Amino acid sequence: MAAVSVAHAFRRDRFGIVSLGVVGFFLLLSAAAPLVAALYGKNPTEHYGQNETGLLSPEGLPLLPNGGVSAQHWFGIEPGLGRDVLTQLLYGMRTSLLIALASAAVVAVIGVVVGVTVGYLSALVDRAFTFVCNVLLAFPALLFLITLGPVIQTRFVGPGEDEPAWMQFAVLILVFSAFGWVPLAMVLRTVVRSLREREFVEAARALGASRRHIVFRELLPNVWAPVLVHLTLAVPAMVTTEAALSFLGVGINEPIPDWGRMISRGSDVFYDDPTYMVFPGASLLVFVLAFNLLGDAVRDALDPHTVR
Amino acid sequence: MPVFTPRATAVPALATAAALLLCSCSAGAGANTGADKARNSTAAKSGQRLTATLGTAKDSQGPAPEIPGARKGGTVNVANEADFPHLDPQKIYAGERYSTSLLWGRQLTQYQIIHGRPRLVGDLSTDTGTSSDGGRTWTYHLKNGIAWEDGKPVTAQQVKYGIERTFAPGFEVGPTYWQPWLTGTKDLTEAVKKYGGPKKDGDLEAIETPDDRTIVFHFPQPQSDVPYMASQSSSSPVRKDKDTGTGYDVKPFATGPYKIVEHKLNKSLTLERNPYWKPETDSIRHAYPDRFEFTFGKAALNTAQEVFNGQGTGATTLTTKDKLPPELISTVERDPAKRKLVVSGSQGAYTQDLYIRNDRVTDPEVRKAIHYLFPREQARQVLGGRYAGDFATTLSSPAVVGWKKYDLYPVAPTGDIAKAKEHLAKAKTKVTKLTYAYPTESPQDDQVAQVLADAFAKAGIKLVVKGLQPGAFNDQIFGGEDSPYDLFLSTNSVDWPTPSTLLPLGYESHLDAVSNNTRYSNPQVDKELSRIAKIGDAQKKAEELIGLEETVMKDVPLVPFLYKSISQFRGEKIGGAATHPIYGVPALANVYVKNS
Repeated sequence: MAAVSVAHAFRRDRFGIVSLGVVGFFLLLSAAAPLVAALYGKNPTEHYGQNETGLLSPEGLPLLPNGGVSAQHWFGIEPGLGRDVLTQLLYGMRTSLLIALASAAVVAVIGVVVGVTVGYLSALVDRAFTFVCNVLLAFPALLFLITLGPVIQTRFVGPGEDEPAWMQFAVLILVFSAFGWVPLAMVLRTVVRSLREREFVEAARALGASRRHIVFRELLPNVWAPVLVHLTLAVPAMVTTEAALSFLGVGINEPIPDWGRMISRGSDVFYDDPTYMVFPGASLLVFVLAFNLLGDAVRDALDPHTVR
Repeated sequence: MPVFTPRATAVPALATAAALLLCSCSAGAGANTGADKARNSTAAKSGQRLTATLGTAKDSQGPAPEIPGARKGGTVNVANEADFPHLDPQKIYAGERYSTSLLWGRQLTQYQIIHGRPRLVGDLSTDTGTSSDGGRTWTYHLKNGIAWEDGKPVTAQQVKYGIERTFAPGFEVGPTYWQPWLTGTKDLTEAVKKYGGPKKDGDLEAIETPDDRTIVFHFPQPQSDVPYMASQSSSSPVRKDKDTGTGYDVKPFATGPYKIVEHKLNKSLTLERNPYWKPETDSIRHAYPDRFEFTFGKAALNTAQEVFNGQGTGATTLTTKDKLPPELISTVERDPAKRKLVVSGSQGAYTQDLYIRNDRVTDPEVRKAIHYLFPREQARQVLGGRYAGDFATTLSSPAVVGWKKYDLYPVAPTGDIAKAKEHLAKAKTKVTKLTYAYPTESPQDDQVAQVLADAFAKAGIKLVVKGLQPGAFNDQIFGGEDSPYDLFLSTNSVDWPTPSTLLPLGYESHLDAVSNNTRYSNPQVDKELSRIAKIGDAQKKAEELIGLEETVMKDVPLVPFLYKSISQFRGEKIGGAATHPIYGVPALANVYVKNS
């Protein structure tokens, strides 16, 4: 299937185009977050509500209706500390995307290498692989993550030190990738097992091509479609998982902006300031929805058999 | 291929956006500006002088002065999230339990509340006690006509037996004053070596009961605060034949106006009138309702919704332990009908301060800098503004006998970064990093940490903030000598409203980290404290200790933050609910059910 026809099929999918636009917009915003913040004139860490008068009540709630939405703070201010919601959202998106995209990259590399290799190799390796996959799938990954955070903190971070930002990110990326590659590798193994019996592989083998050549030159170029589909669907899943972990207090810590923590704070103040929950909640919803629709559209475009 | 046309897709999108906007509409906290004046009038009134005075023998005579408008009868419901950990009078320790247990228990002395002002009067006893021999001997006479719930009279021997029990194993959870005082020892561990409780060592000679209604305490050293200790729950009588050990902790035998008819652990507690209680023997308790029904287990937020909306038994419900949930503060602020259901006041003698480990931050200039940069206003704002309390400038609370206002290093509530930098420049070694630990109990704790980090950063200090599990926090901060943290916020109260348990039990250099939380050490203060310890007169001792407090605070062992306030709530039909000035919770002994 030529790339041109894929692009053509994708272009006919209006949902796909719209969701691609939304995803592109989100990616652009998070990449340009510092620029946007500079133009807008606010930063995500300053306690505006506490340092300026007339923004928060003595009890720490926004004085203006709708969570303090104003010409100064377009999305309002955070109850309590009085940080700017818009810049928190922008930088929070960077946090989510950085973790999701980095994990997706690692997942892609491990998943492709393992999946293709196992699919091509003998039955013994295949059996070992299936066992490992089953173990990892049975592993309570979420509980593991919840317990891992504090352990890393006490083991590697001195009591007088902050846990460095890179370590918080690295732990999440590491665990997401450690469990995330399994489904991808399993899909690719099945794909490769059917591919390796095809004529062009037979031909290459007959011509005396090395295993290395067959794997990298003959098989790999034919698996990028399932990889692409898998990754576009894995990214939103990782974004929600990351938000859930931060909501539970084991993800990314203050003062690094984070959507999950914003939603958690929103639930604390829901009675008094429901608006504060709406912005991160709606952003997360739109972002994940757009990514999922994009994933669907990519799959439809790559698979000519799908008829709607 | 999707079948939607662009026009068709726009409609659901618009509808979603509209729905989001609709549900996101929330009034700002400033919406009701006209009510500002009224709001301030309900502000917690801590910082007022609430000092307890000593009442006379006449004040100790019952009945308690009537509350205008109060009526007898009805059932009061008390809803709290948690049951009482102990009901055994010798194990009860802490304000809320003291206050509630007055319904069924009586002590030698107790606080009488008139127009919100406390006065210590005789409860079982005819007065607050007479001392002789420079404070070494204290004599109490029991009132006539005080009986147990089965009609048998309360005797001096039973009061003595109650106090003897505090020495026994298992009673460490109660206050630990009688034991060292009566044995002339340094602390509880040494005291129980001399006398191990009535079961092990029989009779305690330091307490003498010449007849059924007279009890004489003989202390090896002068003691000034016996009247106050005599009001603690551990100074309640216990009948030997009713002392069933652990069973007594669930259902004690009553001397007060009510008796416990049923106590289902963690579920409910039902009180009915004790027919043998005579109002003319009691100048403290009113006992207006016929019954009290306690329920445990419901989340505070749910209880609050029921009470504010009058659902179910909400109208006749109040809380003694549950606080006004922070989620409801603005709802309550906006609605005057709900606002009047909030019961708030100063939380006894509780103060919240920023503690500094003096053994880690040794330079007084650095501690002064922390004093100046501490963002009181901002920190209080995230804790609920004035619902959290009033700004403090002294170590002890205004509820303490002899309290004097002083402000050694005046500073604006928002902090003074420039002044802090001046002091940091004077420090011998440059400080660039400090650590702050806090228990992760509520989201407010995280926010306070961010507020502090922000302020310290402005003065050029990196504040490392560490949220710890509450258990780990207590272990690390109060348990060990080698705590790696420099700063922490802590809320504390003296055990009774005189200063005699504050400096001597918290700022002497020989004390361990459990008592001396700041590891404060000043030989001059130590010398003064050992001199003051020999004073037998409560008033004189209080004055000397308050005087010494300023000397201590000149060294800035901690930064005063708040005189704590407390806000709880009561149903529309509950009358007489007011925060007890000593115990810091609604005094159940004064509530009544309104006519409707």
